[in-house]
Amino acid sequence: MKVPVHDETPTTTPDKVEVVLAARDVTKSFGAVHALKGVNFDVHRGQVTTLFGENGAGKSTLMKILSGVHMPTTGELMLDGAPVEIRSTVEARELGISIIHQELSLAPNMNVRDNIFLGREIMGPRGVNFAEEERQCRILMEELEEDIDPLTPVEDLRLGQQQIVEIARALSVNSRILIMDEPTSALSAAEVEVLFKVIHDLKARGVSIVYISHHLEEALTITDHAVVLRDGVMTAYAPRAEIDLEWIVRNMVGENFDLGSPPTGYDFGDTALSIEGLSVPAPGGSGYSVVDRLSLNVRQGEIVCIYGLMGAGRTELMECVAGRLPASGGTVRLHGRDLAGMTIAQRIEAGLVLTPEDRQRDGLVQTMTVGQNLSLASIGAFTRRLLTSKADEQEIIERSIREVTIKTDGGGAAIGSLSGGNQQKVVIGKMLATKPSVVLLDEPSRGIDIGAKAEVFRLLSEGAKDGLAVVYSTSEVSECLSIAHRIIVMHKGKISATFGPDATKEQIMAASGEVDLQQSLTAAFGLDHCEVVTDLHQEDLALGPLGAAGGSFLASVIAKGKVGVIGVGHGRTLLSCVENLPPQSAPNLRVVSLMGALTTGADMNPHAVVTRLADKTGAEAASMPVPFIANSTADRDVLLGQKAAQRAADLAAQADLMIVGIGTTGAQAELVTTGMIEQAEMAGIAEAGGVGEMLGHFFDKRGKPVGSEITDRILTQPLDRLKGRRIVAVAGGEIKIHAIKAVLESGLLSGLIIDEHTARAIVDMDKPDTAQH
Amino acid sequence: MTDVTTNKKQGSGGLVASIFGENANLVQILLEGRAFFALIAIIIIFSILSPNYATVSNFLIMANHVAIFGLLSVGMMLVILNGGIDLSVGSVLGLTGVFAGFLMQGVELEAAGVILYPPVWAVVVLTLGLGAFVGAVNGVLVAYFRVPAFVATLGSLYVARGVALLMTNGLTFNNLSGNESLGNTGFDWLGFNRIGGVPIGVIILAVVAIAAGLMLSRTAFGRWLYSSGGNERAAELSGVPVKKVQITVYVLSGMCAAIAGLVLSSQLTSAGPTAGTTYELTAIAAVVVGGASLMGGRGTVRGTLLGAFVIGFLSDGLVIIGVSSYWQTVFTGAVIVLAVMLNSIQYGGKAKKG
Repeated sequence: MKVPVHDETPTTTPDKVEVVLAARDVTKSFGAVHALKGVNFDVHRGQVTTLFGENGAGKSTLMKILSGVHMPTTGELMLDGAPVEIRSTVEARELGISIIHQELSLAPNMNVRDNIFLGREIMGPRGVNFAEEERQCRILMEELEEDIDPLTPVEDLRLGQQQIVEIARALSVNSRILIMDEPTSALSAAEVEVLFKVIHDLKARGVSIVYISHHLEEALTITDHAVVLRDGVMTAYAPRAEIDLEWIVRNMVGENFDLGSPPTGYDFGDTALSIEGLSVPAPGGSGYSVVDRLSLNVRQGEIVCIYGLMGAGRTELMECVAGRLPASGGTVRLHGRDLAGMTIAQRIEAGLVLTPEDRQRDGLVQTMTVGQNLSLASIGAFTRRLLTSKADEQEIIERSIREVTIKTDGGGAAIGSLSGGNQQKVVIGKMLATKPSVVLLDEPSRGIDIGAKAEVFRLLSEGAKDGLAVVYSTSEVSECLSIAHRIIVMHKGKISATFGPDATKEQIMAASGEVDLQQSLTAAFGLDHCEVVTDLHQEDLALGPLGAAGGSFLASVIAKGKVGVIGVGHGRTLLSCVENLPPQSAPNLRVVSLMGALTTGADMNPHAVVTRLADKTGAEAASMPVPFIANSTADRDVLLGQKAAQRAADLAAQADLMIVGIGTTGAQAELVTTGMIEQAEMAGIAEAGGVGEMLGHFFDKRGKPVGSEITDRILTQPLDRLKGRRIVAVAGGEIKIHAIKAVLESGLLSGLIIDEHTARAIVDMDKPDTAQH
Repeated sequence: MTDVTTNKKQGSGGLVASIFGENANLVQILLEGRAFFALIAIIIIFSILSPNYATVSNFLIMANHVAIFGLLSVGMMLVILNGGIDLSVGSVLGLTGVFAGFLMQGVELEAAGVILYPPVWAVVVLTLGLGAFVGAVNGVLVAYFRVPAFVATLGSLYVARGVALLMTNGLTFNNLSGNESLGNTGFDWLGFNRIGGVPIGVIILAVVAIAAGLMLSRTAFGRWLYSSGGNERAAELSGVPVKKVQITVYVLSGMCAAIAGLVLSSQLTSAGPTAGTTYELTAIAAVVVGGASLMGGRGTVRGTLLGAFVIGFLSDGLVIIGVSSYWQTVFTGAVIVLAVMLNSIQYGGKAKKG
């Protein structure tokens, strides 16, 4: 995970820094359960202290003690060196300790201002003093350097911004200590960066932060001190300078836990599950597929791992195979038998089971006992005629508890009394009790600690040895590289790569699309604006999404009003951008064609683009009323000497923004098909190595200009006048990959709007070592 | 009523648990024990206030009243276990009563020029069929057309009541005794006869309750019902035919309402189209007082029966000691709120322990 690091190492030594909050021998027991056993650590002024630990290690209990939800059983908290008892969250807040929970506690229907002052509204003589609240709210947002309007409803904000609002709320009560529970779990990389910047600013203001995260690398980049908990015991406490990732993991996990390796020593059986060209439509009838013509065969005894990011289609694939979601195409066969039209119950009967991703929502019946949950999927097995047999049911329950090693008081215990790992084992045990031949597990390791994970994997691995076909999904790479014989990487509903157990983490992550395309392109080609649009329909040129993105880019540029002259190029993509531009009045704007606008038999020449743009904005249009290409260089100069052409060229020289398309140099290039350039001429350019075209200039794959003898006849801006200007290209499509790359290499572009597939192809070109078999 | 609730914690529920012979754990005993002690308290209080209350004949009369609500409550409980609600039972009771009365008057087939007088057993079967049909409509609306149960059954409440009024033109069928020469006598057996001194209505309630209790505790369907009420998604993924279960509970509820309709019109020897108005609310109250969760997944037959008896014995007791019917309404409301409040405390405490 590459997370932008603010690479200031903590400079202050702990001795000199004031300790604001300290825990001394804090223990906490709930009945017979000892959640915390003797925890000692300090929170320093203006520094970040991170709590590391697995689920159930006691992090949240400790956090609840710090924030006044619980009182410690023994031991004490010291605030500014004096012992303090925090009896409630209100008291904690009065002492300057605020907590930001993982689930944000904002009212989505209310605006930012009302949320920040919720419960402590500033009252004036005539009710709430909204003006004063708004003023303070603006000051807070300024301090946090966030451009959030106090009157925006919270539901309209991105999650990262909502988090900022939470922070602002904590700051508005003058919090000196801010506890953040998993603040990054739902944020995008860019939002994490903003959050970390805010954390840095808060530190600078002397706010101490207690940070909790499962994301170890990320937490390491901002923390100053680490506290590691395991089973309620504090196993380590050290300043950042003395620790590394391995240290944390070692202290968290204890011994070196191994998630296992693929079971060997037997041959796979026949194909158990065969998926052919399966498609699953997205909910809501939007027309695209979340699983897209996917094929996969799994044999008896084989363990297949499906890796993919959120939204890759893993869950949908599994739920469709299990019969919960309808397919829009393709077949699923179990031992050669077509499953089409079969209900979930029939599929379970046939030997195909699914354990769902969200065990609370889809896996367990909370109102039933452990035993009733375990036997739920095999009721038929203990029903004799009409009535169920208690003895038979008990036998099934006891066998399941034994086989999947569930730690429970017995079948009669409440399901809620089990830990997460044991609950997960109940879900798995329930499905295994039906004696399946194929088991699908959607994120079986989600939310359970590493010990339980290892046990679940051992269970699966033993099942496979007995001939069970296992398919499990995960979003953690380390779990792919454990018991799986085969690793399938899914991306956007398709299998993007298949690996054996010897794959590397990097290979798997690269194939999953876990590279930030926008960032990669921006960094690689020095762009200051880059937009990667999602192309769901995968057209050849992605005109729809590109047009929409280009249109809104133009709209925002025009709306800002800082651009006086826009120069435009030619091509279908550009025309589509202009078509997508919402009508918008900008009478002071001038638009100018950057190239000769007259062509024969083309309805998307520069003239068309300019006129359409002028129509939509009411801008003054200056088209270059000359041909695109002249017969000779001399002719070109004559043509450019024309008054109208002269004026357009002068205007073009002043353009604050040039928005251009990118073309190929093939026989099907737009320049050729529209008759702007003759086929033979284009062939010559291609021969000279030219692969991409922009504004009538041709570039080879290294970005060097070629074909100058032709360019010299084209009525366009000379190359030297394009350097250092603000040029934004809108282009995409499979056929243009090399053309776009060439133009990017030329270094002329300052902005690019591109579709995702093309962007990925370009980013991938730079690392040929990424093995994708 | 307050002394009733303070009793609940000392509750030794062995007696309660033995009523239906299910194995009840401590939480269930406490929960249902509450309704049980409420019932005992009601009986004791009214026995003191009125010498006529604690007599066998009065108990049998009251039990006969409770039978109607009890039948509705058992059906309602099945629906509530599934996480739904059936507001149509009162109207279905009225409609089926009228339908039975209509059949007893003879069905005139104009084309054939004859009047058919179906025998009583056929009347009963047809009436049950009508109740099942209304239930099936409710079930399909809820399961397949995703109409919220509250709305779907509210609609049937109106439609069934409207159809009942249309069938009689707002009048009442008074002659349900049939005619010996037509071979359709015996309808009043349901409402008036006794076996060993026990009214038939009470016996029917007992039979229905035992059947429902067995179904819930000992059949696959019972397990399906509890699981789909507790977590429909999990049940579905475990192979439970959740839609079938959903439709079935509404059908069973409709049939229970039809049985109640038959018993009531037999007891009254008349079938009026407005019979059973607002009975659905009493039935819901009985289920809730009996400890079932309106969220689904929790509830038992014996709890529901106790709930029905608490409400029935309370309101009859108030009548016997001469309290105005307006006060009865107030008391019933208070009991319901108290019961739900205690349920929340009970379930809340349980969740914390878990």
